[in-house]
Amino acid sequence: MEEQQLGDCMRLILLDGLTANNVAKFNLKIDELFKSEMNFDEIVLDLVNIKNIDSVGVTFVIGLYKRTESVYKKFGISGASSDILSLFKLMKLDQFFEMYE
Amino acid sequence: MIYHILIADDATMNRSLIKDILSKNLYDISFEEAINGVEVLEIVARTQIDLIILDLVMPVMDGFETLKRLKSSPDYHDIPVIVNSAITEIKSIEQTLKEGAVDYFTKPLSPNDMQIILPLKAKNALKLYEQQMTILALNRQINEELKNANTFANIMLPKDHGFNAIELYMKYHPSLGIGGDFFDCVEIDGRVHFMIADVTGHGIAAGMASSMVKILYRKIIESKNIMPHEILMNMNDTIFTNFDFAGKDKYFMFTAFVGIIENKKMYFSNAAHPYPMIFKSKERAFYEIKQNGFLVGMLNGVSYETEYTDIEMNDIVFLYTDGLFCAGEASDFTAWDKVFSLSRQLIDVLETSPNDFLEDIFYGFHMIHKANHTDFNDDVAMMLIRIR
Repeated sequence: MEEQQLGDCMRLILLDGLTANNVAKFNLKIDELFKSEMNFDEIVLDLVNIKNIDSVGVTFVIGLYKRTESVYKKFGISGASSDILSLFKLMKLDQFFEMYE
Repeated sequence: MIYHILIADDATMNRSLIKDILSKNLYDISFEEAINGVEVLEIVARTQIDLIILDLVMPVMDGFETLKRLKSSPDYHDIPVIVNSAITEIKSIEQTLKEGAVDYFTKPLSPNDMQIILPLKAKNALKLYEQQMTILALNRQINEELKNANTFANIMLPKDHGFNAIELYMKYHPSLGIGGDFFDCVEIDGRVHFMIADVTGHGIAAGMASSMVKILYRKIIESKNIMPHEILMNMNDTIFTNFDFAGKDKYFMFTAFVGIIENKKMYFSNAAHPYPMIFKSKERAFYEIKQNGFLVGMLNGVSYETEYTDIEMNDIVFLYTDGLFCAGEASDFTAWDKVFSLSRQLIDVLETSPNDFLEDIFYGFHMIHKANHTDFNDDVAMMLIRIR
């Protein structure tokens, strides 16, 4: 996972599949991020490199959304493939956070 | 614990020397001795041996052949073998290491070999063997537990008989003997209630969670005239009321599709489950039952909706979980369109034998995973409901 801060937005770029095998290491990174000063207003999870996602991956996205919301910051995703977008719509996640192109 | 070491060497002096060195440096050991490979095989057949020190050059059966036989036997292949021979045989020793010997030493033994190297090699081999045995024992215990859990999971499955309004066909394949996939179907007062669900993750924790879902579901549908969206809302609310971790960092979430068949109508509500299909027998065509909805256990207080579709005799509802196309590193949670396309190819099989249809779908995905070099190791549950 790569972090890239652009103004008030922290972009988290995933480089490995959003699957059970990788979620534990993503969570470690997220823990570090939430322990930091967090001098940004929004977290955007960049899924442009993601081809594979499983149920644990979906749980990770929801968990990150809820954690971000609990500290009064905005959450969104970007770069998701059309398949992943339709999956998130199946779960009605588009009602909770922005899905940028 | 006493370790039993077998020393195989045709020279009495060598056996005595090795025995002497090991006795001085290792505690709690006992010895067996053999003068050729045949004796080695006889001894391991009747005695528990924890380490073999094997000379390669022996009469009757040499060390090479003995090692081959030990390593090809399921009963003895785990016993560590340290080979030894004259320094001139070093090339052959290399071959024995490839064939499964854990270590070697050469003769004649130098003073260093005697005091330090040989005892250390023996100690390491015994330690490794003990660790291997512990892992094997744990594996056996876990497998036994999983077998018991699997028996329990099978008891929890709906029975495929005793329905008036429908015929039920199922295939359940939990990856670890127990899993997070769950389905149920029950007829109460002329209403057929059914549900398919998939708890996040797989394995024992998911299996425990799916057992809770089943109990919850059966309890909720006792309410008269309850509709599918109320069932999902009730489940979601109960999870948030009863589990204080709900919606926090330890998630208990699942996708679910809930339906009720009554008076030639199927009422349904979906909680993020891959779209089930309905086979319209008059048209000989499959249609997806599309409805989006929140995962159960994700957010407190969310609502679901009930829709309905007309059904006729011989129409078939096909429900499945994402385990068909979602497993391992190459998971693709979005590939449910493949289920739709494969089902359309198998209409003839569906009409003649619904059980074969389920087997063929399962086999079809097995082949897709094989061709893609991806694992097929998630839980899979499929259910067909044919209207009478």
